[in-house]
Amino acid sequence: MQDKEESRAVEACDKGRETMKTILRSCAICAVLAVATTSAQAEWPERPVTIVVSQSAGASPDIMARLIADGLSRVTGGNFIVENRPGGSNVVGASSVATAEPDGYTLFFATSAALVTNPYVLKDLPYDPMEDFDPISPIAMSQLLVAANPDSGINTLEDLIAMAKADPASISIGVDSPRNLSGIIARAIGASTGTELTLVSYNNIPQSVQDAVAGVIPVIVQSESVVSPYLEDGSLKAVAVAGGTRSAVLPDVPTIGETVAGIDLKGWFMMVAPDGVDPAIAEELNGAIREVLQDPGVVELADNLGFELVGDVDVAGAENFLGQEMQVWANITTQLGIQPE
Amino acid sequence: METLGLLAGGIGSALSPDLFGLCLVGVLVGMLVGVLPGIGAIAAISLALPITFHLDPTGALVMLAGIFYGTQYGGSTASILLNLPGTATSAVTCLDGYPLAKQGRAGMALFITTISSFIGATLAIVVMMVLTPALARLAMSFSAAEYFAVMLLGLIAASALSTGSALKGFLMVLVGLALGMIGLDVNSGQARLTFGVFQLLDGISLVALAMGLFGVAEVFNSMAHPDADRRASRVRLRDLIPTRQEFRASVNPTLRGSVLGTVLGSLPGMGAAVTSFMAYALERKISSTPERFGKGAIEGIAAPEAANNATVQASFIPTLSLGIPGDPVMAIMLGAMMIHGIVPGPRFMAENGPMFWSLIGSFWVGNLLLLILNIPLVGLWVKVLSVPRKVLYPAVLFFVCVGVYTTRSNVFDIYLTLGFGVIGYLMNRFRFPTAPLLLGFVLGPMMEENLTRALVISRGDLMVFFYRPISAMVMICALALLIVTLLAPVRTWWKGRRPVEGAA
Repeated sequence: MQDKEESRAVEACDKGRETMKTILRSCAICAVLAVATTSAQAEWPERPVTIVVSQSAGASPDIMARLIADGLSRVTGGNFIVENRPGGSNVVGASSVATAEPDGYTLFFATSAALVTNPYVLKDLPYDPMEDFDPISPIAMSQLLVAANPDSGINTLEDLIAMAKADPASISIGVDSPRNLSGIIARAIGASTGTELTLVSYNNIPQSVQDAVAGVIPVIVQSESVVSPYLEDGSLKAVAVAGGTRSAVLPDVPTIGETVAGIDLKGWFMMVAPDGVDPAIAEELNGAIREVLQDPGVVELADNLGFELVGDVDVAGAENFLGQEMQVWANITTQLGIQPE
Repeated sequence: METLGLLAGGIGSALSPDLFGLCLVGVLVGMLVGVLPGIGAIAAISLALPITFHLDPTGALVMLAGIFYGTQYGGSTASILLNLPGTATSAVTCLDGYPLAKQGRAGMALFITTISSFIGATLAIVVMMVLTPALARLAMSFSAAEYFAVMLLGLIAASALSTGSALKGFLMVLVGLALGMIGLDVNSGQARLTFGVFQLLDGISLVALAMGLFGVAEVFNSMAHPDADRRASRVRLRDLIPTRQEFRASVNPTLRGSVLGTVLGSLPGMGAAVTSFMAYALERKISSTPERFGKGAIEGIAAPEAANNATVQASFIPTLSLGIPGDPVMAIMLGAMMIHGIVPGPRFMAENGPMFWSLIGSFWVGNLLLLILNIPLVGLWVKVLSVPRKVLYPAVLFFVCVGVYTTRSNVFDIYLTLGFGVIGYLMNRFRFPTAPLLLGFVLGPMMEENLTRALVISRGDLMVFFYRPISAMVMICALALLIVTLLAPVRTWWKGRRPVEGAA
């Protein structure tokens, strides 16, 4: 491509001019063209890129997003800024990106709640996760754990189910809300085993941990990052992880699926752009994210926060991933009879 | 003795050039942010958070903590001068602080709040040093039943907040409770009273409500009464110094506020917005002249300011010793620690002793810095009152809008604030008190959540509140207070009746 243009330029300049001058001239044009072609690719990001986070500043998705933004600024030499648009169960942030220009300068650090939970629990959602966004790359997984008070006599998921069957409604299980990931995991365990678990909801997550440690409730479903310090000092006991595969941090803890078939539920983060973003930008961003996710510093900090980074996934893989997760949630909400409200 | 040695080491390290510098930057930023209406600690700390990625963990914590307690010093400034809470935790300071400013005693009021802030914080730090492990154990024994009981006591005590008609005060508490119900119900996960507005799913922002009802309403109020122009106060040094009588009147309330703020603040979930209200209610309840409240009572500014500063310091207790953050700001601090690989929790003090003591050391240094910085600034702040109103009020509205927007990056919240401003203005016109509404709004959702949780866990047994010793004790206090409050009119009536009987 470049050679052709160069030779055309040489031809154009050749008419009645000195050879030396022509060579110099063509060299100059060549240089200009070379700069022009590289800048066509390097054009993005020529101004700051906003990454929208639908949680408030300081929440764990926000910290993760800031780590990634920091890494992307380093890798691309651009300037990536995190903007918090919390509120409305991720809806405020998600819909602001859904309607943004797909120019690659507005991205969404999407949570699984925004993309795959909301469509099945909220009515009249002002955005369509499949239509309004182009997936770029999954970033990290956050496993949820079923954890029990050590004096509760619950060591395995079988114990939990047996106790609930022996004395219906004897097991209170602490969750964030009956209609989000933790609550749906608890309900799925109950529904799949025909047992009755009493859901106790907590707006204030740390308080649920406190109640479990104090033995006010015997069991909680909570993210690994929140629970792990309590596992270390023995004030809580890990019973099972909710994802399809065991956690890298807790390899000895079985998955729920090993006891109750068919449950594979996890939280995750994924970078998406508004629908219609230039595929070249999507590819470049995907590459940059994959590079950031390899950075040992980022790996270590994510590990501290209790997130498992998702390794190398290309743009097509990201789309597949979103499609699969969407199906998982369609199935589980149908099984539990959850209607959007 | 050992504690003193550790403390000396901590203060020593807090005075090292880099930690001292970070502490100074933290408290300065906090103080400025606190003075600006609307922009609270959350906004400032989350903006500073990325900077701390590149600091060592102790330095990061020292700076973020400095911002947090710094805001509590600045927060009362706008409350007193403009009837506009600088932070939501200083809303209650408006009630008596603003009348004092109108009487030309703004300088004295700011002086008193600075001193009581310092005393509240200092007491909480001492308690934190000595009692962190013990208080952590106490906090662990608090579950839904205890929280509900404490909040019920707070709400009943708060009937004291209303100044005029008791019925109007009670009504406003109910309106506050209703407003607090807006959003996703924690138990069913269903939206209540949102009318399909997604911005309301997480409820109304406390900042928007407080700014609207107090600040914006006040701006409207003074626009409606242009003749009632405030006297521009000339500030001389001696105006700042309280009279002996004013000073004496503020000593006990400051101590009571400090104790209340420390004890309640060490419970996770009791933020400074709640404890400052409770301190105010307590002062009014035990005062022999409750009618002075709302008209410029010194007790009404000293106690809440001591309480909110004590709470802010004390809220480090559950965060550091249990890993359980007491309020959203502490949740951010917890995140900042985790990003550096420090896990707060029962083993924090054993594993990170030097960090704990450096942090405590920096609290002393920071609070002393705030005290030294604040007193000369009082004179400067009071000059704000002499700014012509046609300049001051548009500027105030501007800062309110910016402040409300920065808390959630949501334009909708600005409309809400202005809406509540109109409502607040109308409430003032028709003499409906605004403070009980705000308190109902703050306590309502927490009370509801804990009530239903306690009942779910006990399988619907109402006696759960009396089985547990702490809860039973607090419930009995609450009921006793309710009976006393209800009997007060009867007693007055009885007293008024007897002489008539005697005459007959």
